[in-house]
Amino acid sequence: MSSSVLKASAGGRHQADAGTIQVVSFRLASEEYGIEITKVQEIILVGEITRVPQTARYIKGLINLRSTVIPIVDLRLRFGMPEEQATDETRIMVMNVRGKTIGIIVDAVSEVLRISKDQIAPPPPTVSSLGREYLTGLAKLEKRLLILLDVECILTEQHELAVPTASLN
Amino acid sequence: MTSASEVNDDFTDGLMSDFLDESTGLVSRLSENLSQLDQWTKSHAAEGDRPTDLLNEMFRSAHSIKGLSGMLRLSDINVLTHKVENVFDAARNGELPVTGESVDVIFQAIDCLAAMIDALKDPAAEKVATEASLGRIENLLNRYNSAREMGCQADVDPGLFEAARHAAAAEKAPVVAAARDVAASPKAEVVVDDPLADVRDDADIPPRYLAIFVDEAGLTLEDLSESLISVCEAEHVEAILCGCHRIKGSAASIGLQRAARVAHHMEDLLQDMRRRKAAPTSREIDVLLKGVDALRSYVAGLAVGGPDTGLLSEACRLLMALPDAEVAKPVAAAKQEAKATVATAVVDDWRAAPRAAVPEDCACLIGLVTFDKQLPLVELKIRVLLERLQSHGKLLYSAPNEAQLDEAAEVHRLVFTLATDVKAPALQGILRIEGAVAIEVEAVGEVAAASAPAAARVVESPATNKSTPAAATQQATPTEPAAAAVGDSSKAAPDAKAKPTETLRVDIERLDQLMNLSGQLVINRARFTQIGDRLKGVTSLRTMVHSLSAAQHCATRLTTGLQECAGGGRSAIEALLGLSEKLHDDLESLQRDLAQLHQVRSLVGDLNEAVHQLERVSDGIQNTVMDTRMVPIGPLFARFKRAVRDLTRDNHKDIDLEILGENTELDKRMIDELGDPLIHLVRNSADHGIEHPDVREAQGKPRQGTITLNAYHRGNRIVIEVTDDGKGLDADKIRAKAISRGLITEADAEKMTPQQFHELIWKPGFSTAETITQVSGRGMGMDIVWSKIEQLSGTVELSSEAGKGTTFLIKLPLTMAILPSLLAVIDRDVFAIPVESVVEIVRIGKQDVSTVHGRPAMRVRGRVISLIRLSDIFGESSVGAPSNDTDSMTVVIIGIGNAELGIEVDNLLGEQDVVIQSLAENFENIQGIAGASILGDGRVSLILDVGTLLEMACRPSRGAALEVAAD
Repeated sequence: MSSSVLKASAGGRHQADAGTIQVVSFRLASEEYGIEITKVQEIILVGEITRVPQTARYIKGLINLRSTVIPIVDLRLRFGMPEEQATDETRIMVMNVRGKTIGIIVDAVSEVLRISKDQIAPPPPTVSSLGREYLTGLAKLEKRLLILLDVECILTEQHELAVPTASLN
Repeated sequence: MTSASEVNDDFTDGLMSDFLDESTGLVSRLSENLSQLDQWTKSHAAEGDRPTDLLNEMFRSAHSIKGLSGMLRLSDINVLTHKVENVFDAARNGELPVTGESVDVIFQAIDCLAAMIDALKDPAAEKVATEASLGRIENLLNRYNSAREMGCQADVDPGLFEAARHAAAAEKAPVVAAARDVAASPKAEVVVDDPLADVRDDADIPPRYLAIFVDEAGLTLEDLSESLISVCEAEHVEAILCGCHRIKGSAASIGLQRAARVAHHMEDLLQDMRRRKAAPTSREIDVLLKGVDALRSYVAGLAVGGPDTGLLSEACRLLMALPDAEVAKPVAAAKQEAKATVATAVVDDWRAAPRAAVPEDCACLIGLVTFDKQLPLVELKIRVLLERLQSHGKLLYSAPNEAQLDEAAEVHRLVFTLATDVKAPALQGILRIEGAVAIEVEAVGEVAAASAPAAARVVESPATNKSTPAAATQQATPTEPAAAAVGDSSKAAPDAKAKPTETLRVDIERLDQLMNLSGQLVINRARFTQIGDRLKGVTSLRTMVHSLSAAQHCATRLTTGLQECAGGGRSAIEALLGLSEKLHDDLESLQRDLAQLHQVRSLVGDLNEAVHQLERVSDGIQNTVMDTRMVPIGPLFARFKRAVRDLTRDNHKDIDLEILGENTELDKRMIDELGDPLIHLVRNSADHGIEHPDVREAQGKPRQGTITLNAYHRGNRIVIEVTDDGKGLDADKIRAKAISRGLITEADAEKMTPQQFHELIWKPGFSTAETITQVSGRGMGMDIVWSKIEQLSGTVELSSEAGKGTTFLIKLPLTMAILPSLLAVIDRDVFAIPVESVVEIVRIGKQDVSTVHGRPAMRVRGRVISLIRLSDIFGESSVGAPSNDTDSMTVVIIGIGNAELGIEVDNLLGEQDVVIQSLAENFENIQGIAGASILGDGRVSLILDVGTLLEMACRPSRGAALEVAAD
């Protein structure tokens, strides 16, 4: 299988006191997102994905992760962005969410950041009014904005969307 | 007195799971026996005899539960089982007639018991009310004047009660109970010197139980001796007591009475200590350790087939002789008495005294000569015998001895211990004397006891029918010990042959994991096979081809060069030389490559061999793991006897449940899951299927209806059949009901076959019952059956004939983890189709396909089968080019029962065992897909769920199919 690019580093944990969190940042189209590092199991290359019928379009299919079958979500499609061909930088982030292991396809994984809590602001009203609860906040870095995602919420909503109505997407 | 809350002791915590295990088994056995008893009451009620064996067995089961629960201080269960036990006891003693009523009362009690045991498993469960059941038993017993007081239980079991009751009440218990134990135990035992002479081990203990016992007892004994050796303080007594009690219970329950007896005496001693709240003295510990050792060697003996009872007797005697033990007092007193009156009419076991005289490490003979009571001058004869004995060896002990002979007036037996090398039979000949009615000689001591304790006994009774007036009981006649000896020797023989298999209790989770791992091994093996196959073809051909073409090229150049050479100069020749050298090199390298290829070839051969070996091993592992999880379906079936009995009682029908194939083995998990659907089917048959006896009679059927449960293997599937000979399904009624419930329309109904109507019963919410009874009618049952069986990747088929009955056929895979499948490529994806549901594979021409009402169908040998592409069913646009461009296509016909469907496939890859992985584990279930599996090349393939596909294909429109897509 593909090699692991990054491992959830345990080193920073003792430093991650109340004030800071560690996030893995990744790129999706032109935006940059972050997911808390504790949720991320590993990052792998995109291999062959088996399509699954009767699922929402953003469910790319299933892969074999060391003898375990896990579903893959295309985050671009999930967020309603146009689909894009995989590049050298495209990765699958494997995450543990509610006892399940899933993978999400992202355009590129950038780095692991430590952000302090006071750098985080709630999402602007225009976004929060969309009911997208998986957006937990915005981290203001020096020159850029990082959109923080709550993976658990993605899954909950995905669960609802995965039922037939989603096929209208 | 909620039982669960009282269990807080660490030690008992550990025992709890054992208790749950054992008691669940015992309860199910009880209810099974109870069903038999119920049958019995129906058929034999008038005859007045009683099914003693059955009652005894049930008594034993109840007693075991009582014992175990007492030990764990589950007082509720203890009290209830005690009552139940009383009923059985009364029944077997003839104090209580076995009637339908008493059986009912017991049924209720057993239910109550089962509920309590279940409640223990779930800490949140509410307390089960036992009062009603207790009251009913009390009533029953009172009515027949056989109610017993709790404390005066006359069985071998004072300990439990004591343990189960509060400390205050317990103060007097052991003494009272123990006294009764001796005086009134059911066997009417006589106070004896050798404590074990009157008990015998059951001769025919099933090796299975023996194995379990050996296993458990071994562990417990280990613990016991450990806690005995380590600091033995007052609080440890409790733990040791529990251990002894366990051994006693389990030994008694399988009929190893001797071991039980020894454990019982140990328990008495311990109980006494506990009552005194004193730490045991070193002497007591010594004696207890002796007991443990004796038990251990006995158990070890059991494991190899020839138990040694000599040590047990010894230990038992020591235990009883211990002055501190209150319990032993009456026994000890009796012993002294026996010695004083040298030969009493109450014949006891004579072996103890002479045995005590046997020095260690020395083989001796002990013997008993009994004389006719009327015989005059017995003393003289005894003197003669003593002389004879002395002439053949060293007389170590004799009762009476010479001195006593002078004083005693009446003697009519002689007991002796003789150190000699004369063999037992020979000695018997020597001892033969006129007037002796019985001569027994036995070898004792290390050597003889170890080799064959029983076989060495020689018994002779010149006068067979000798009844002594003083002892009316059977045990009291001199022939009884002989019988015991014979019983022993006959037991020793089969024991030696049937060595019990050793068992080990394993957490089922671990087995599951092992199963998973072996599944992965299978996948990897498949991968190896694939790689090996590919290697065979590829091996370094490319380099060879390259070298060859280079050589060829050079050769051509050489030829042209040579041609030029004819008219050329020096430079041309040089070039020519260079070329020829190059050609040489190329050819050489070609040769090397060839040699290498040769080597690789043989390596590939080796690899294949290794893979082959791997295949065998992994198959072996897989099979073994699978076997480990297999249990017979019998106990599951047996449960339904009770259910049917209850049902017949409620609905006044007469139904017999016939059980076949109870030895068919299924995966343990599967058995666990099957209880629910099967009970629905059985209930359905009993409630809806079988008619009322009067109705049956009117139709010329026997009054008694029959429901048959059958299980058998067919191919690599297991088939479970539930058949009744009732009225069958009423297609018209179903039709009317289905239309009224809106499940189908009138128009649909017009087109449906009777079989299709029958299938409607699987629909959720469907029931033809007019009224909702306690048993059925809500229309949930069949739906549950269907979904449960589906979960197990099985199928249910149904066939019914009006007036004749209904048959449900449940087909299950052997295991839930591995599925033999046909791999097919459809739209570039590989799908696995369970081989079980593949009816046939055909290649059809375009001309065979036509449309029926807009849907494609094909004709195969006269049949018309609808034809689909998977993408149509799944409501997706076909990605791959449909194979319409060719004249023919491959179709896999899948089918379950009577429904068939052709699936168009692009390519077939062959058959393979795939390991099913649930999609729900990391994702969610998808309709039409049974799961995923990993192929040999590491890719994921989807496994088609044929049952659902058939259903989906029959749906009116694609949109509707999607509406229910999420489970």
